[in-house]
Amino acid sequence: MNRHHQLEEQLAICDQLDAAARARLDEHIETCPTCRQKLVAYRLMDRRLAGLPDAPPAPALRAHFYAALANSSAFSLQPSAFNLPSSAFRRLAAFGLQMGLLALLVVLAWSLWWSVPSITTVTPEPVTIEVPFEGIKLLGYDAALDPLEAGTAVKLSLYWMAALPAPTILSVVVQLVDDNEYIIARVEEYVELGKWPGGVEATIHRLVVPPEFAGGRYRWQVALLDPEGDGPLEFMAGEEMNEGMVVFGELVIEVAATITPTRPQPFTLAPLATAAALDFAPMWSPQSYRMWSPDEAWVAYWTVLAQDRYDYSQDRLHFLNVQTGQSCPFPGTVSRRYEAGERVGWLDNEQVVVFQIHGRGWRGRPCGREWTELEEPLETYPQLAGLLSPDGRYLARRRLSFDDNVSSGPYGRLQSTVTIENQMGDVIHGLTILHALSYEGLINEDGRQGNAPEPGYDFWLNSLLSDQAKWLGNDYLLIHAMPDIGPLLLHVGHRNIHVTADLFQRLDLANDYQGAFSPPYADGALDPISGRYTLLLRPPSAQLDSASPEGAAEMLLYHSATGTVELVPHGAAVNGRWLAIFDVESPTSPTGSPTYIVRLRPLDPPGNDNYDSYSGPEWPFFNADWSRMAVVAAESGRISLHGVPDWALLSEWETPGYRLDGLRHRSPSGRWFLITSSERQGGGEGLFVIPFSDETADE
Amino acid sequence: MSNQETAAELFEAYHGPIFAYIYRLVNQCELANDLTQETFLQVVRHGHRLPEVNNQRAWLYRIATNLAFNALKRGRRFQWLPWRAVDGAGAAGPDPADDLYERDAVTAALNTLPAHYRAPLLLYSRYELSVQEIAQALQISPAAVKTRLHRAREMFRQAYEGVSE
Repeated sequence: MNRHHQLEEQLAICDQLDAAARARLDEHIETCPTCRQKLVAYRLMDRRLAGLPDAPPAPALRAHFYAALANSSAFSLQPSAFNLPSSAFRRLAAFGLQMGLLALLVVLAWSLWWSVPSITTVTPEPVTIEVPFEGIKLLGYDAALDPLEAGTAVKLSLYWMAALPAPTILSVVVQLVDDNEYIIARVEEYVELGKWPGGVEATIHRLVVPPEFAGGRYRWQVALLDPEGDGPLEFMAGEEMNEGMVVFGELVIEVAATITPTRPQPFTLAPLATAAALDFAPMWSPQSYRMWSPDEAWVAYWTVLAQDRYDYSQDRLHFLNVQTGQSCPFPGTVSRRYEAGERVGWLDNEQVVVFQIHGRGWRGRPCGREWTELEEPLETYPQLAGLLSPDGRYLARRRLSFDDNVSSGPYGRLQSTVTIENQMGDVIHGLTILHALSYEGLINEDGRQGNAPEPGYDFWLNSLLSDQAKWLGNDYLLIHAMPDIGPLLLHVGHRNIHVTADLFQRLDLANDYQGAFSPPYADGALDPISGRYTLLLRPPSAQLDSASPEGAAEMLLYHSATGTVELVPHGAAVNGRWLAIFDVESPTSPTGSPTYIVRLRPLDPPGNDNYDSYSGPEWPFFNADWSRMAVVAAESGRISLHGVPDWALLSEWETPGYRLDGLRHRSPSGRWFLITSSERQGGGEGLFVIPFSDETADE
Repeated sequence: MSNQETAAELFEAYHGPIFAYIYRLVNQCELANDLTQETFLQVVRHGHRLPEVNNQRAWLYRIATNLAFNALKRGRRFQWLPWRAVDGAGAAGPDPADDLYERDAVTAALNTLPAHYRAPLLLYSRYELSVQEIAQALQISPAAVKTRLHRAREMFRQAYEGVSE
């Protein structure tokens, strides 16, 4: 490097040169017009860069950071007690003190009585109360309660109006106390208030009155506290206020003693369909949801006429109306072979489309006589090739294209494009991913397997299946696992996409991911009330170890409300408000049976330990919102429906003459539960349909 | 002072500029928010190194840079589709979100620089870190900082002339 080049490099940092170096540079600049020109340009550049406006961070960043900091012991997987930093604590303590002082002024804002003697039915009667507090008002509540008795769950909707500088995470405490201030039931949940300044924000809280409590009058108290206060706070309603808590008021309610439920008489159930063998896409195949009409009145199933269940040559497709029991066969030939769940799609509640494996398809009504052969390809029916958001406004689709230029033997390159379209068909969002592909699992038109695909040969590859992605509410599309990338969360309203793989990176699982058999997987759920979502992330190691539960890795539970992550055992599932841990206990003797255990807890606050447990000799199946649970006793042929999380027996059915050891399946919304059952005398199989929701259980 | 206390103090002092710096590197607001939070949570996680850190600001920028570079590295494996593009058939219209940014020629020019040149230029010209601090933040030698800064300036100059024409 010559002297000119050495000095030219120093131009880039001329402001930070020491005096001697600066003098040498100045001397050179005097004689070098190029460097002089550059210096002017660099100074101008510095001014331009220094004048760049700084984008402000999101207003919620501070709240999220402190929430994450508070959970940093769980986040960093280190057992450490959390202490707020002194400066932050001083601010929060002052905040809390203000809350406490104000609380003294606003306690006892409301007190209402109901005096029904045994079971109290609280009329849904929203009240209007205004308790001003630091910009937060509790406007009222909606006590749309079921008859309140010990052992049952109580639901309370609270309506808030908050005018805060930024969305703020606070804790709402709802509890029942007796005359001695003894807490008989309590729930504490994080809420984020201030998201819509001037708007009404609703929070819903549910608590269970323990069944062992006798009837009597209890006071129902609602309080607000600052979750970033100095540790857990005791609740001292109406008396001494602790820092960081304000009691909005209390309500006296009457709780009836537990009424020992009379065991419901089991209904006798007859199969809605029978055949030598029956089949439908099983419960664990999410594509099977396509078998249901949107209103869940019709479901498609197959009768298997061949001796061997896996001989598809004599399959017959049928449509069953689960409300009326009417069943009609499809007049053509459609087998279950390959992706049975993709053979059927519904255009609306009346019209169904049936496809053969390669291309041919028909459109008609389930029990209609007219079936029209389709001339158009599957892509013409977006509702069959994509996932519609629950409100029908957005359609998520996937396109796959093969790059023949890089095809090599059994491997090739695939371009995968996921798009979100609006109702006009405009692509408003999406991404493309290039990844290597093994042709091993591909089946060509002539039935050969493991070769490079022929263009356009296999339509199902071009659809976004419900086992690959799901909508969390109307705004988020969760792709469970993209090859090479891992799970992705797309937000319809934002250009940028939150990449959930980052979570693995944050937790130092990147090395686990790299070199792993397959990318990490995520499932998730949205709480429709709060709009918060929860992601359950399964590291690759959990997949690899899944065959041995003892050695299985833990899963990561990400709370969007607080940005925190906690570890939960393998076998966890979420539904937006609840976390369930499924586990199996080995039998204690060689002749014993395993015990199946479900532990259920509210998702909020993160890391809470308020589990309710169920254990029994069979796996239970939840309905969509986890308010009901079915237990199938295979040998006795009994099906029981229980409340969740009190596990109370609600209904029971028996299926005389049948053994319930067949396939099980739940309709998309959870209204219906299907099970095939073998006839004890070897005559064939029956299809039983069980109502599985509040609405249908009462019918 | 515990790690959490230190993290909170550093957060209060630096989260604004750290966010802006990360945002300039990754150009994604939501991701920048996430990485900013993560930067300060790393302080808690790696708090045992705090006594060895003689320049906390440089250390923070180092964490932020590493996180941003990692995110960019992962981001290369996939590509976002432009707004209102039609099926990737090349019929993409103008991106209204991009338009907002591209009005600013400086930002546009800056965005043409690869991240490992953009980072030292931002740290030097926008956030006024010394060459030594930049070396710590980027984990390279001071001599390498000078070389990169020089190249970054030249790249920026050419890009700026290009976009402002």
